[in-house]
Amino acid sequence: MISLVLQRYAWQYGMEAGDMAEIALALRDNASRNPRAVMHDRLLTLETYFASRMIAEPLRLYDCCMESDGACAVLVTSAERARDLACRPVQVLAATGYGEADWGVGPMGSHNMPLGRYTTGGQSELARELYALAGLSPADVDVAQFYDHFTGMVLLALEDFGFCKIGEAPDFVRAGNIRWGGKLPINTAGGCLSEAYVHGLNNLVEGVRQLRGESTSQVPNARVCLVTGGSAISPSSAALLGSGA
Amino acid sequence: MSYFEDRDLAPDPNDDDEAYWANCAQRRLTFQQCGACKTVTHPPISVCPHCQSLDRGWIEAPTEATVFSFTWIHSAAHDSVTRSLPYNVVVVEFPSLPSVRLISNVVDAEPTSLHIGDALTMVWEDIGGGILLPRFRLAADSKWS
Repeated sequence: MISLVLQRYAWQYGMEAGDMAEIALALRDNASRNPRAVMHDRLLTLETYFASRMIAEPLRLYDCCMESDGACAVLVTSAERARDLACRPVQVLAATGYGEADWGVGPMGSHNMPLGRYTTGGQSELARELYALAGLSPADVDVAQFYDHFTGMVLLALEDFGFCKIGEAPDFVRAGNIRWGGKLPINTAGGCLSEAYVHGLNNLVEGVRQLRGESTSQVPNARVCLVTGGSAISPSSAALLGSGA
Repeated sequence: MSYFEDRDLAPDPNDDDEAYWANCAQRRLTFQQCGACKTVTHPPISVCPHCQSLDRGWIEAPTEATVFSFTWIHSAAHDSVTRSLPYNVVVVEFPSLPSVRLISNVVDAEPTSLHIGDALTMVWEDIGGGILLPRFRLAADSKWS
């Protein structure tokens, strides 16, 4: 179902296979610094990517997240209680989750969402509400953890969450912006594509690490981290976390 | 004949779509139209997703159809489709009815012969058990024109 959206997106906006590969390679590079990552010592090159088998065009093997066993937990409490804990607390600046009215029924809205919404992850309204709740804008985000079930959907999430305009995500990633050291480092533990597929909760835990300064791909002075839930299905969710400092 | 060899892949009509499949069995492709707000939607559902009316009617599908998007599947998610690899999945759009798209397959297509925007002709596939499926052929395919 995802491949149908990405095929249309590629046709409409000129996305190339190499643009999805950049997501896979960037996240594998992050995983190479994370000893907990399933793909920690598994080098991925552009040649390996293009030699991998096709799953559902345009998605190749390395465009799809892993199947892995794992567990994550987060402890949510009041700011007052958090002050007494041994760990450095991270602030939930805003969190939201709901279905979008025109998205339709089921995964991918059964492909009957309005034309302008077809080549999106269906999270743009949710993103607007999230930024409004936090009083922040995409420019305030230092690091992001996008739900990465498939590489191409990360491109669409970059657009839905306002880091580039519709159709410009391929240019955005070609410029190296999502790499560690780039303008917006993403999925710094390797994400569901290269750390482990713990249904995105591992991305939330990595968001907490970034704001505590404990990531293996630490973004210097990270104060705001975006964490997003699964795209292309309604309802979805997202949160903005702050360092609380 | 059927695009997939395995007959177990037949739909199982339920309260929402039994009228849709009954119309298909009569070789009529129909979509639901809300009696109140007149919005045409698919797949069939008992409540209008736009105005929540329970007044559900049916209209005939337009005959002009094109490829809105497509994929070729190379990895079998189920044993029943292994022998059909690679197979295509196509999102069909109807230029005169932009609110509705239909998921189907284009039969007799090769991986290089399918493109977004291609004109399609609908064909009925009788897969047995009283079920007829709306599938498509490339309209420009000289074998069928």
